[in-house]
Amino acid sequence: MKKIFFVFSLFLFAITRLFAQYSDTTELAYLQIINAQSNRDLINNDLHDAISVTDKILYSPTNNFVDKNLLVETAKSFFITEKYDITLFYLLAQRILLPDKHLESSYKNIFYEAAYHYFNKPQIDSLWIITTFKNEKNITAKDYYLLANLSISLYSHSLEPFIYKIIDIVNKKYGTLPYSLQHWTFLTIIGLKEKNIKQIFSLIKNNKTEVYKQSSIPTKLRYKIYRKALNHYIKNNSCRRAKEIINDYSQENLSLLLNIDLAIKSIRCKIKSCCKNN
Amino acid sequence: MFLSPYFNCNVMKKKGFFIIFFLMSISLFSQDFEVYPHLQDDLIKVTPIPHTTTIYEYRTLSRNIRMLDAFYAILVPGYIHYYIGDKKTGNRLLAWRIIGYTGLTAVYISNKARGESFININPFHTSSDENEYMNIVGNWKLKKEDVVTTISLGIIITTYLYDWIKGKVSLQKQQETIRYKFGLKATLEKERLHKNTIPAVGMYIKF
Repeated sequence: MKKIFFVFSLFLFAITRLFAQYSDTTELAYLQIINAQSNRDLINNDLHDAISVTDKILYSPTNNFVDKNLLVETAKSFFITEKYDITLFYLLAQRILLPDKHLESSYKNIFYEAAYHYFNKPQIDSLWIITTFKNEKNITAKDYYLLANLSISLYSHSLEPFIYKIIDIVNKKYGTLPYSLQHWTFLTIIGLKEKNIKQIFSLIKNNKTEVYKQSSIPTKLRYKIYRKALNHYIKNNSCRRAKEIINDYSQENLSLLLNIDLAIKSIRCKIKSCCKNN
Repeated sequence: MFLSPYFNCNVMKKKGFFIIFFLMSISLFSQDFEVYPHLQDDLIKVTPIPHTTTIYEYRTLSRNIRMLDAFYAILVPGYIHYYIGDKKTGNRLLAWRIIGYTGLTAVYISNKARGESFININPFHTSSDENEYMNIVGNWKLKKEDVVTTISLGIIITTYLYDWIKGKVSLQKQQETIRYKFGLKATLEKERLHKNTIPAVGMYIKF
């Protein structure tokens, strides 16, 4: 009996070791090794792993050496591969969610170098001050809002999946999301260009009203949002939503050309809904 | 003994054809063009993979450039680069190969219109019409069609060799990168597990 028990425990030990996942410590050590080599092939090959490890940290950040350093090392990897927007995202995440005064000096240069691609010196200084070390230890929804809003202020298309992740975390953990972030999600999902989002975002009112109905936004841009939204929903066969937008759009004071465009879009929507029903 | 030399020659020819037919039938039934015997069936070889492996990494590791792929690359321009996942270079090679074929087609049409054969490269060819020639270096002149034919053939051969050799090298490079990553991570993980631990055997249940 003892022999069987011994063999079984040995088998279990072997099995758990066989399927053991690479730990965060291993990932950190590997990132440090490849960042020191500055080899882009190696870094590009590992970014997928680094992102999956840091996703866990973003969801439940714990104030330990590995988590803090993993965010910084991931940022360094993105900096070497010249993805400055994502570099800034990870450094901001580290500064906001897992602040550490001793670590700041190791990435200050990278932070400034990456930020120069998007802001001027006074703006970067204020960005640095906004995210300086805070005494409160608990992470609140406000921290995530700050991270999301600062990331949005970069207006970068490649950063959108990362901001969606933060929005998902906020939804899961706190259940509430500011209307401004909801409006930003809508604008990016319908595929509005960053240039237009930059023009619109500061004018959006933080209330429930749909973006395309808000009077604070110039009419030309509102019509653009209508058209983009209609194209998106018709393309994705979401005809019910498209019909709602068509109803709102038809009540606007449209020119002849825009009326023709609306007519074409409603025909497309009807054809798609017919096909769907058949 | 009584056979005439004429008959002998015919028998030899028949034997030759039979040998060629026999060899071709063998190659038709073989699954792949392999120099070394292929002892393991790739289709049922399932290896344990680390949980972070992406499908791209798995494909890169399991693929290899064989002689058959080199033959496919003759028929499909940029085949090797498409095969290893480098679509950008594959498209470029395809474009260059099309340029090469266009050049050859143009020469074929031009030569056919004048009643000449398709490939007629002759550096010592002389003609009374000076407009047909192009100055290459000094007094060395070549026919315009010959220059286009040479350049087109050069493009076709170069793109094929580039596709094959560069494709093979970059696949090996990608495989080395992936092997380096998983090898080093496994070593680091092993070091971490054996660090500050007392050798012991135990079991636990995880819910």
